[in-house]
Amino acid sequence: MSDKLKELLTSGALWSFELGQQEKFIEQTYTSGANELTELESVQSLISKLPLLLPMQTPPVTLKDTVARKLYRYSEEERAKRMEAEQIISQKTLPVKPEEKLVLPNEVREEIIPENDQSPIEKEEIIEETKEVASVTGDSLDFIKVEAEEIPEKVQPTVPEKIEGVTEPVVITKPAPLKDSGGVPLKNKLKEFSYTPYSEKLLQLNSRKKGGKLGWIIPLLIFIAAIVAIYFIYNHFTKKISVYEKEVDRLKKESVNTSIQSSDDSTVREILTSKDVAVVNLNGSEADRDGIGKLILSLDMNKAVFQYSNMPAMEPGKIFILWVTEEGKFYSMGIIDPSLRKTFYPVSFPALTFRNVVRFILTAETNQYAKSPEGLIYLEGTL
Amino acid sequence: MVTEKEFTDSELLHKVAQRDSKALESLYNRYSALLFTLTKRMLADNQKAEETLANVFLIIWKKASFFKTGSNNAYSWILTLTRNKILDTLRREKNTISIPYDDSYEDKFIIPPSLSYDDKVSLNDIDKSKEKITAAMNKLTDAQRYVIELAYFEGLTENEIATQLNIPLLTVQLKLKTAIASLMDNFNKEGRE
Repeated sequence: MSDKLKELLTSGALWSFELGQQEKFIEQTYTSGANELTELESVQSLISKLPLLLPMQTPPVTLKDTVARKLYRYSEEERAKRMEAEQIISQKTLPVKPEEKLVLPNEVREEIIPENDQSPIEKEEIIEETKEVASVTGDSLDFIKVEAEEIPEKVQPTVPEKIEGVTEPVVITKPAPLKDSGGVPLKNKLKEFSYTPYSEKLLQLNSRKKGGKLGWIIPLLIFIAAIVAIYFIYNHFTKKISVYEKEVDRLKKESVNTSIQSSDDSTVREILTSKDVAVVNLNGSEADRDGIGKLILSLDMNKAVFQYSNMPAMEPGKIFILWVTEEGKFYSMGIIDPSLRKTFYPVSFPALTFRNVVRFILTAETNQYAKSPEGLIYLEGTL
Repeated sequence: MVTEKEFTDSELLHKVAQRDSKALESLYNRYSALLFTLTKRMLADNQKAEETLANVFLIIWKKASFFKTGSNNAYSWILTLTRNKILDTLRREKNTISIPYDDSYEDKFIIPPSLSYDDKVSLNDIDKSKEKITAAMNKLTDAQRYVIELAYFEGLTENEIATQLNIPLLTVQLKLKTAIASLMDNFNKEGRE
């Protein structure tokens, strides 16, 4: 490997390049050969051991809370994003748009109508053309003229009351088809017929037609009723589903709260069963006399839990911090976030000398990284 | 029964990629002191160090899946990621990085490539590594130690080192390469001794 390449790998591993050069380095190296990558990896592995040269420092106890808060916020954001995406998907798939009438744009219509048909068709033009055809072919078009003929007056047929002259011998001479299939003589059948005038027949036909229309209306009504019923059933189920989804969300939250509660309870149990336990009562200060706090400490385990009640509502942008002070020095025991609604808040407890009185105070702060109490004191107590 | 404490760093990192918050807590317990030490040394401010380190753990949570399956060098991956994030913070304060910090930037410049190099270092055998790197560093010349100090702990770019030391850029590059190469030799010899 060339010296120049080694230089590049060293600078890249240390990110001692400017941003643009580093970008180029990343793109080139990660697509280069295995030798270069192995060299880069070994340099990175070596320089990552350099922090071991530094004297080790303990991170502040609040760091874990800060990390936990960031993770919680991130997971909430992710959840909100997921729900938003699910809503968009459901909005896209559920409603069906009614069919719209197809309206052709003008340019499309122009394309469909042939050029020679662009002008409106006039009645006179058709007549003229017909005449022209007749003159060319020599055909007479007179046959299409229909002269009005006189319609003879309707003569109402009369049915004789009695058929006279029909005797048995005449019936015998008639051919067999005059009898119906059941062998009933036609004469008897004829007796059942009656004449119905045309006007009455017309009325009967009209009434039948009306009956026919009703025959269409009923299925149509049934169809509409079915659609309305489906709509109501769909609405009903959609509402039910949304109620169930809300219920599931509520149960999930409850389950998270329960798990938090159970981990808090185990901390309390752990503290209470330790060798050296102390309980400090914290009373309301001038800022709020009604507040009460209780701090349960395990002096051998350096662990503690804090409980409070009757505290005023927290102003927006402020948080409670629990402090312990000994010999003029302040130590933050942790942030008390009322929005978490915990029964017990696990807090850290630094190793103290206990040579003098140890005082505990709860203050409202605007800066979660405050190194000493700056805000109003709400609760105070001593050990 | 196998407890979290018995998992290697790489195993824990793979578990974090599968959204195991207990594994992240275990990694936090193992690494927070070392990472805080480095962050505080480079940023020289408690509050900034705390904020940056919290962001580092959030990145680990979000992007642990970038750590290749089968990789066994979680220590290098976590340390490199942390230092990249610190360098980004430092350089944004100095306005030498102006492009917006988004996911694609983070994936490219902050997340180290998942390396196949298997150094098997974990915080369990850190004392051994500490002795070796201290001995290797002590064998360097003062100038070599200084240039590593400026590049690694101060987070200066080669141009900034050249300006600070009033020497040509090419000389800085050569000195850095030589210093790291000597450190590597010394470290490897320590392993054999």
